[in-house]
Formats: sequence, structure tokens, C-alpha cells
Amino acid sequence: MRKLIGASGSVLLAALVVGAIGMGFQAQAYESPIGTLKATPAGTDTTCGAAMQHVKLAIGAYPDSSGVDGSGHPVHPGGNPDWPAFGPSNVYSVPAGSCVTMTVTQYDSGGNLNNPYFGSVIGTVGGKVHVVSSGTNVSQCGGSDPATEVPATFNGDYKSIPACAMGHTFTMRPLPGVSPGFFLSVPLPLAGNYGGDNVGNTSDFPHQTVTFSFVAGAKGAYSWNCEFPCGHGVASFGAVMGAYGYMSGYLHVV
Amino acid sequence: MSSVLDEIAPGLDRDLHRRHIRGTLGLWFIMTVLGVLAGLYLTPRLMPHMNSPEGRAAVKTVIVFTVAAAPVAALVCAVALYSLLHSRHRGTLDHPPADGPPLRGNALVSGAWLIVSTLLVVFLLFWGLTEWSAQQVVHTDSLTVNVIGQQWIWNYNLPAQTVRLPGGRELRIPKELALSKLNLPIDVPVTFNVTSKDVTHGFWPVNLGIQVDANPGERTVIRTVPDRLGKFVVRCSQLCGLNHAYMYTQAQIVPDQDFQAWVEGGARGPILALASSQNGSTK
Repeated sequence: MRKLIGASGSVLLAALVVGAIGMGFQAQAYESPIGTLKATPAGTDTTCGAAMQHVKLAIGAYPDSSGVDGSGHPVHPGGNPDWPAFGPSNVYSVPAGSCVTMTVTQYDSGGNLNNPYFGSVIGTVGGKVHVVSSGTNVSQCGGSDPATEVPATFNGDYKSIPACAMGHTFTMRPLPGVSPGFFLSVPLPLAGNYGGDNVGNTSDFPHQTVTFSFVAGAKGAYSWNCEFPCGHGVASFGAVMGAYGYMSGYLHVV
Repeated sequence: MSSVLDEIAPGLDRDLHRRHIRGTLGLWFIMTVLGVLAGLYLTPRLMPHMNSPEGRAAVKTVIVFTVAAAPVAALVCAVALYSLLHSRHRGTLDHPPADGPPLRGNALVSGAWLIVSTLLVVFLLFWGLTEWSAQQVVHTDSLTVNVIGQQWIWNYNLPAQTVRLPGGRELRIPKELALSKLNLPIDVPVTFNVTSKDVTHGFWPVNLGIQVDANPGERTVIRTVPDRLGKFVVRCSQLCGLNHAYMYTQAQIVPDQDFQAWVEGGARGPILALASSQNGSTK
């Protein structure tokens, strides 16, 4: 009997230790240093094609994660000045089944996508985004010689953005078991110059305002990240692209 | 036998020794039976439903290998467990326990172990090569799907093509399609051309039972014939960075008529032909 109790106790203790380690990792799950940005209610309308609850989210994509945005809020507390980031938060919350209109103000420069696929707009209402350019934005679509710079000026609805005029992307999919068919990818055109010459964080600087709507899926967590190679290292997917919370985050559908 | 025992373990208590041998063999037998039963009945329930012959061959291989490994694993576990139960020190430990009688080599045991191990490994090699060669069939007409891996997502490209189906029918893809989800027609051989835009990924359509690396600048080819309707997930099997765990896309196997209609509609929206099937359990 003592042997049985000893063996059972050992197994139970091991299970408790493993469970405690798992709960410890769970407690360390990513949270934005600024907290969750909740969508702003905008009544009920037919923005998404049928009458439904409408909410709005406004975020920015900034070249300097250590700086502040146009409202004086830090983009990413403790951020690296050489790293871009989405702000003011990387974690968002929207109601399930609602129509979500997102506005992303893009202040960062850019260049070429690794994969032109992400130049297409996928999963938004009407399969399109509305883009309004501000300031002088030029791309390398005419070649790598600065003399061949071409304007990256947008004003209207677009179903795709040229892969050579990309600043970042907002690409989102559900975590396993949540809304299996959901997929969203929105290209965000570059602002200012191409080729890594970061511009500023505020509306004084050239920027692109990108607006799109989508229907939030079922309750659960959705993971988003940028698919533009804006880091360093292999395929420019290291550094900021390898650190959670700058060019990646979560959307919680509640 | 007695001379061998005298030689390898002089001073051994033979009655005690026989009791230990009988106890260990009994434990080995019980654990082997449990291992074989687990291989036969538990393994198929832990594996996903497979939607291709390659997938079902993979499940069969896991079952056979589990059963073949059960006696070996059971022997190791039986010796360890028996030793733990009968030979551990009891009471306070004022000084290190005395060593047991020294053991010397036993040619019979060593020879048997060598032969059994060799036979087992040769069997595994034979089985593996047989299954592998059975999957190297190249169909003259197959649907070509270009698979592109990128941190951290898969996307697919269907080139314009015409595939002849059994019965004289044809599957036509009139223009190139770029897709974020993998949709495949049932009973049509598929050739995947797999590559990567950045680092090495692993293209793993789980329920098709195939897996191949996606290497930057290289094209690797893998083939299968989806033969059961169902939905499943394509995962990445190579640790590829921050969002590796989230690198997956949805996949679906549908009747070829529905696939054709979906393609002709520009591959927009979902294919809705799966009302009667879930998880690949229906053909």
C-alpha cells in the first residue's frame, strides 16, 4: 500500500508541476503595455451590407516605436527607435458579429513585398480599401534609381496596392478552432520615401490613411501581423518582426 | 546454465535470481500486451482522419511500428519498474549499499539481443521502403498547385491548366488563381510544387498524410490523391520564427463539379458542398 501511495503521489506531484509551468506560461501571454484598445460604438448601420452593430477602430503604423503619436501618446513604451510599430496598442477588442471599420494611418516608408500576394486586399467588405494620400509619397516602382521615383499617391477605393509601394500590411487570421474561414489582409502603402528613410510619427509628415471594414467573426482570439519585410536579418523578418507586440498582436472578439 | 551463472555472477542466490527473472518476465509480458493493445486500439483514435491513401498508410505505419516497438519498450520498462519495486534501498542510509555480484558477458543473451535488434531494424527498413515506393506514383494528369510559404502564412497559386479526369471529363482552370485557402477536388491526383519566400518552412497538409520542406529558392514536389471529402488544416512543420504556431491555413476537399464551379466563379467565397461530410469521414 505504501508503494502504491508513493507512486501515486509522485505522479500527482509531477502533474502538478507540469500544470503549474503551463499556467505560468499562460500568465505570460502577450499583453500590450498600453492595454487593450476597445472599438468605439458607431450605432447600427449597413456599412457591411446588412443592418448590424457598427464599431470603429483607429490605429497607426509608425516608423519610430520609441516616439509619440500625434496625440502625444507613446507608440510603444520602451520601444526601439529603429523599430517601427503599430500603436497606440497592439491588442484590440470588438464585439462578435459586428461590422468593424478600421482606419490605419500609415507614417512609415517601405519598399517591396517579399510576396506580391500580400498586395491584394482580402477579406474586407467589397474586397477593397479606401486610401487617401497626404504629403509627398514616392515609391521604387520605377526602379531602384532615385531618379526614377514615381509618386505613390492614392485617392479612392483599391482592391490591391502595387507590391513595390508597400509600407506594411495588416494580416489577420483566427487562432485554431475560431471562425475557420476568416482571413483578412490589407496592404498599407508606403509614406514619404522608399528604402528605409523613415518619416515621422505625426500628421505633419507624409502619410497614407487607409480605411476598410470587415465583419467580426465568432468570439475568440485572432492573431494579426505585418507581412511586409520591415525587420532585419534573413528576409528582413528578424529584429522587430521577431519580437511580439510591434508588428503583431491580437484582436479579441468578445 | 548453472555454469554460466557461476561464471558471470559468482555467489549468486539462485532461488532469488529465478524469482527476479520470473517477476521481470511476467511484468514484461503484461506491459507488452498493454503496449500492443495501445498500438492496435489507441493509436488509430489519436491519429486524425485521413483523406488520402498516403495518410492512411501513415496511420497503418504508426500502428505497426508501435506494435513492433511494444516488446522492446516493455522490456526496458519492466526491468526498470521491477528494479524500482524490489531492489531499492529501504530504511536510513548510513553508508552506501554494497555492490551486487559482478556481472560478466553472456554470449547467448548478447547474441539473441543482436539478432532480434537486427531483425527489427531490417523489418522497419523494409516496411518503410515498401510504403515509400508505393507513394512514388506519378500520374500523367494531375492538378498542379504551387504552394508558397512565407513567415507566417501559406498561400497557393493554381496555374491555368486542364486536367483530364476518368470518364473523359475535364477539370479546367481557365486563368491563374492566387488563393489564401487550399481547395482540392476529390479523386483528382495533385502535384504540389512547394517553395518559400524567406526561411525554411514545412508544408504539412495534416490529413493528407504528406509533408515536405519549403526551401527558399528551391522547388520541392510532393504528390497525393485526395479521396475523401472533408475539411482540415495545413500547418508548418518547421520552426520558422515568431508566429510559427499560427502558420496554418484552411483546406477542403470537395466534389470535382463543385470545385469546377468555384473556379469558374473566380474562386470567390467558400465552396459550400460539404453539408454531408465533416473531418473527412465521408466519401
